[in-house]
Amino acid sequence: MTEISLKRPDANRMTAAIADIQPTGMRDLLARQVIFALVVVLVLAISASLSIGPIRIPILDVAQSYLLNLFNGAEETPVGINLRDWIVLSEIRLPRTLLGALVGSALAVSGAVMQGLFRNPLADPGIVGVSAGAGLGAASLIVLGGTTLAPIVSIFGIYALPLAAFGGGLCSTWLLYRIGTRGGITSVATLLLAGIALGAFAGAITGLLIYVADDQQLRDLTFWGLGSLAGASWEKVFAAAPLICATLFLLPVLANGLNALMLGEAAAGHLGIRVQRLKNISIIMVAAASGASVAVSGGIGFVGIIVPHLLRLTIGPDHRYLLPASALLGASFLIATDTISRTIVAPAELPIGILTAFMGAPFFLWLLLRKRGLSSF
Amino acid sequence: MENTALKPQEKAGSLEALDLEVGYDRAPIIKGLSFAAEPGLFHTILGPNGSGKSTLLKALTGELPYSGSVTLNGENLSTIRPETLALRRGVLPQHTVLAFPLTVAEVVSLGVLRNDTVGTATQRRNRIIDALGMVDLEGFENRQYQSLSGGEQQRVQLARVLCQVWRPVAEDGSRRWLFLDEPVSSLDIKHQIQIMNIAADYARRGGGVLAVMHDLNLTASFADTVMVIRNGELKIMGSVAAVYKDEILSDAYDYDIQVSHVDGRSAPIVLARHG
Repeated sequence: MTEISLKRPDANRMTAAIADIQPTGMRDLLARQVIFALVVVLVLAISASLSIGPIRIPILDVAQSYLLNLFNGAEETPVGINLRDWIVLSEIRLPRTLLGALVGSALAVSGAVMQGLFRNPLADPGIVGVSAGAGLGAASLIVLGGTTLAPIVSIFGIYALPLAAFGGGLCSTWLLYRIGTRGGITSVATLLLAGIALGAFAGAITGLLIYVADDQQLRDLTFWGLGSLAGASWEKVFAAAPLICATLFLLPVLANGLNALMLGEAAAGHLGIRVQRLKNISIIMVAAASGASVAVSGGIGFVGIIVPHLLRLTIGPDHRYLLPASALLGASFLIATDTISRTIVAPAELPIGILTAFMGAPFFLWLLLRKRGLSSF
Repeated sequence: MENTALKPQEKAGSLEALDLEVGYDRAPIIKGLSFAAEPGLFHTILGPNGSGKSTLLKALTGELPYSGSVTLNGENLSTIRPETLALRRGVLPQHTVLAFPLTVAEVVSLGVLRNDTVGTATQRRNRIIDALGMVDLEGFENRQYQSLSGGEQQRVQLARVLCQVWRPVAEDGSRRWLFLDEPVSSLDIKHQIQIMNIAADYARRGGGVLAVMHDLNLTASFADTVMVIRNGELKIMGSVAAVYKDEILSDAYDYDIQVSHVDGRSAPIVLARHG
């Protein structure tokens, strides 16, 4: 035995060690490799997004100069970097890319958690009306922020908008869960129909708000319908970051519970999972993450369906890997899509929501047909 | 909840219910039921549809709220933490629908959800493999759960539950329990007997087994004790020989049932009148 292990090449030792303690049929090792690859992809996506645009910025050179300056204790504007490049990079592209990463990971993770919670791969905050609820919360704050809701704005400052969206998202997720679940069983048909009703209702109230809105508010509101990262700013990054990052860091808490939930609520309980608590935390997290992203980027749809589903096909449904992988791929996906949306019709810009819907809607239909065994069509 | 003279005695590993009442809304489905079951035996619950068998099992596994008391190893069921309870008893559901496609090994690994309950990763791996061996599914690790037949799926679920309560007698000497809800009702005869054998073996090795059953003949072959439930009340609890009598079973199922004995076969055979 010792001789055999000595003959193993060193590079394979880690792989072999994990393979040794894995029965066949477990995908832990593959999942770890995929997550590592996704980290690399995210770094590439961020670099590409920072360099591509009307002005091409040599991102490696800039990074090198920036680091040199950092070590030399430089002042505000780094030496050796084109001032125009620096401003474009630090004031426009960097916040936009970071916002894309935050929103993309939030949307993908919300989708993955919601699908685990509802035990269905078609659940998504955008489809079941959570985003509509969050949008209503945000719209209320935009229109009534100067009058009725002024105290909220003065207390929470830049966080008022994401918090309002969070509140709207929380109400609609909770309502959905109450309506869609009876006796511990979630009916997907009820869920989707209730989502449509809730979405329509939230839309109606948002419509009322539009009716009473003034010109500036109207412009802000229109932006929601489309879904875009065009309004990215450092302020928005800082406003969305706390809720989204808190959610992302809390994810490991949910993984085992969501895994057990694959067997059903009763069986999860028998495995020692506190199911009700799991549901509550999941709902709050979905509302926080999708609320914060709706507040800063409007309704960008389908990311939460496409990303987790593609990952399940590769690494399987184990949430210990699915959740972090979704965050990484979601971030890369949205950054890449946003880079396309702002370059494809340059100098104009295509709202990113149009692009994601363009890809996502057929994907959703494909999923539906596949589930019904109609994939041959 | 007063301490009365009827307080269940503390016995190592026993499962006891006292004045158990369970009801979904107001009308109780289980009405003041009491019993005591010792580990090391295969206990079964019989009764007609709607008699409350499954409801009783759900209360005993902690799935449904109840009034009265249930004790496991002398500890009050409602005060045991869910995490701890998961180490003391496993539950095999009647039917499991998986939400997402998992491999067989991944389904079984859910039985050892938390690594700390097993020890090292190698032990965890061995347990998954051993459990699949016990249910006669060696080499199935890599198969997609959804592609298996009903009988195979139920055996995978049993392997998962066995993983959860691996040793019938815990390190501290306390006994573990296996609760089975109509474990074989949708299976063919071979797989029925296979699963019943595994459950009986678990009891023989010192664990407690309590199964809700439908098939009177299968129950007669494997059970150490039989509880007959009717209208939410315990009619009788005893050995197969004591319970399998024409009048008792006929009364329980409200139908003409005959118990026969065949030479060379220890278990009685139950026949129902036709037409």
